[in-house]
Amino acid sequence: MPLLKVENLSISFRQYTKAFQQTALIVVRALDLSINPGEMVAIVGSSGSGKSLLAHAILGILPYNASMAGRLYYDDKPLDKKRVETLRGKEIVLVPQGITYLDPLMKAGRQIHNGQRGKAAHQKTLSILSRYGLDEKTAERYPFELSGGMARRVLISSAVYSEPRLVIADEPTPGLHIQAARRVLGHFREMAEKDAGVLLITHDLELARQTCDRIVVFYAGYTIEEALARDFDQVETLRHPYTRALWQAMPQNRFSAEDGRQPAAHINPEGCIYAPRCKDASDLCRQSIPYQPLRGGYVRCIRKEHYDT
Amino acid sequence: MILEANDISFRYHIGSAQILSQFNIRLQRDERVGLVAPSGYGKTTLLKILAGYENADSGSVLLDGRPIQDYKGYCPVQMIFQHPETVLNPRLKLAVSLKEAGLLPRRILDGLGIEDDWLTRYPAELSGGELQRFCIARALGEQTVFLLADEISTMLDLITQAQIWDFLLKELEMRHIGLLAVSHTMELIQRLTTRTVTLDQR
Amino acid sequence: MMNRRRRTLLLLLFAIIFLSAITIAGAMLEERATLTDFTQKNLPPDRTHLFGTDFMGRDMFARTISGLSLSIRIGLLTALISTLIAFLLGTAAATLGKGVDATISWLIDLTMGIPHILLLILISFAVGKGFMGVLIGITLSHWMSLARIIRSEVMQLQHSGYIRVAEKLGVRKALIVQRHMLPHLMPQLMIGFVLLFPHAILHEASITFLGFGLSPEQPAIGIILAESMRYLTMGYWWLAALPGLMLIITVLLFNLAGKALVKLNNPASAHL
Repeated sequence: MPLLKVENLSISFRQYTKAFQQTALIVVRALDLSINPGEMVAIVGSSGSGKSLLAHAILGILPYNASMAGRLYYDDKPLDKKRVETLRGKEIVLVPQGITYLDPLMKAGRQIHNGQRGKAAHQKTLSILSRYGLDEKTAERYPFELSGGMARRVLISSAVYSEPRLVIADEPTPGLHIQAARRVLGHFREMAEKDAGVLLITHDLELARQTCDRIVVFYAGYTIEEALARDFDQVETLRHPYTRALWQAMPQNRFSAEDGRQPAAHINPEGCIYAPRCKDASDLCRQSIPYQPLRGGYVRCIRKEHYDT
Repeated sequence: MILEANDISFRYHIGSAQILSQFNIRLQRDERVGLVAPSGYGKTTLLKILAGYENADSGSVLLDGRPIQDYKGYCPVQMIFQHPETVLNPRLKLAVSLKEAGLLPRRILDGLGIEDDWLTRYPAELSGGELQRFCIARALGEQTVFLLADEISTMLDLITQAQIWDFLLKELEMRHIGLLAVSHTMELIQRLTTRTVTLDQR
Repeated sequence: MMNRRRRTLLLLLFAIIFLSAITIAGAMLEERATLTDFTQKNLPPDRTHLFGTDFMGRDMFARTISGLSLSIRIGLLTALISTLIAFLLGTAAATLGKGVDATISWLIDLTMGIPHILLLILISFAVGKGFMGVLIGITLSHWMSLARIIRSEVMQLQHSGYIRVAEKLGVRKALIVQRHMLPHLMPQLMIGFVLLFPHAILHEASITFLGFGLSPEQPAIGIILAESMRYLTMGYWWLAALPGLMLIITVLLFNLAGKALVKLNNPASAHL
């Protein structure tokens, strides 16, 4: 039974397109994914593909002018705004992107146990800190006294304190050296081994491939493919032409640049969102494209038999 | 032309950590150099000093034997930053920001895939990848001799990254512009550069 | 469709029309406001005298409107001068080096440290009360918070990435100020100006009421209210209530318009 299930999620924003004209801008169109307990799933996609919005939607913290449609299930029960408010920070936690999310006026220890008093809370804080190679002095420090790497570990510590069942990590590695990034992702892997579900939002495909179980690819507000991490070992096992182009563009592969770019949010082509860039696009691609299973994963491509090797 | 840093040291405040100490580097205009170091080792700071955005506490940065701060007007050493949205004025249409680099040939706009339609828009209306193309174009003004690239493709998707570097490498070669590039991805550095410098003192 | 931006625009338009109508009408009614007629003393509001008459038989409607008109003109002038002072000092503090900054910041702290109304009265009294007293008093006591905002805004702008880049691209200093700085400061100045306005009007009325402002011959709101105090116990409620209400409406309207402007300019609520 999946821990979290997202079905056909869409998100739109009310915006002023001209000075006095308000319209709804659809940014996320159709997202589908699921996470099982003990699993680490990566979401990869370029900026503007909707990956951070998904995290905000799950946590019920979308901005005031956003509205969403579609279904969210947690523990097989619908996850609505009221329910997520009781779970957020306890069963479901977010590890934010930047270390600026630490409260500059609060000691690290307090941020980890979230103000709980008593010896037990203190002991637990210290044991979590030591798990991440930090000593008890760290608990007494203010954020400005921490190095970037330490601050990141404090953020992770405060996330695991409540023993969450679902961890959402929003770009936890940019700006980190490769070894440091691997170490951070190692910590998330440990959480998964304790049976939590980990959702890793990243744009670093290589890192996702090395550390996660499954990879879901976002493109212009759609989930276009769900693959096993090992499917990325060679291009032939990938299911969608966009994913294949991504693979080819990796510096360690061919570093080849396919033409075109992700369409802007206000452009809404009929049918397949990738068709304008796709070499194999045909008239068939103008109809609406279902998200369907293929070889242990999913793909949103009508010509999937093309990629069925 | 040669860009060189001689024995430069730097720290942000008295009493804070020494970011650079007695660092030396020499760049020719026909080479492409990769700069590798763990995070927090002052790569961005070094690039800012080389481009004249910061002054070193001691030591000198010379372009053709002249201190970089002495170059008034268009600086021949141009830096491209990691986050394009921080270096574009949110209240200006992109055409105006672009114009600050002087007249750019059509070739550059086409090569970077900048569409005419984008020129009349504001930064908030475009994605980070699209904005970065403008920042790169702006750094390629006629008098640019050295280009300093601070993780310019980290926030981009792989395909955009490949597109941009594909164009940049050709452009740099054609105009004999020297490159100093910072990236965390060794595979990318190996694709781009002719040699690497490691910043591991501290 | 009606959305918040359109509502805000309508509110602003309404405020501007209301303000101009009072200003113009007040200037035209000035003669009537001082016209005495002892056969018509202390009349309650009726059709010929909408706001009633006072102890000298003067028409209170004419007096109220021309009083408000005077207040608005003084408010406009003082708000304008205060904004200008704030802009100049704020920019100077941010750009002319540490010494100038320290001096101006000290001046800001000093003036802010003295209670508002006390400072106003002191200045007004020192320059001999009357129109000039009010004008100088209000302008000298209202520029500080806006100057502080402008100062920090300019400081932030100077370090902003796009201005540093523009410098390295060889863009001239004057062009940087015109292209990159002014457009950022304009909304701040506008909002500052609009919000200063009701403040100025209220303070003009209050120091005049206390006797440190305009002279008693002028039909100022403060004078009207001060005079009416003496007749309140005699049951002549209209002398204070109606002019007071008009003053409150004017001030509230502008406060509302100013706050609406703030919301429009704040990116956190710009798309409501």
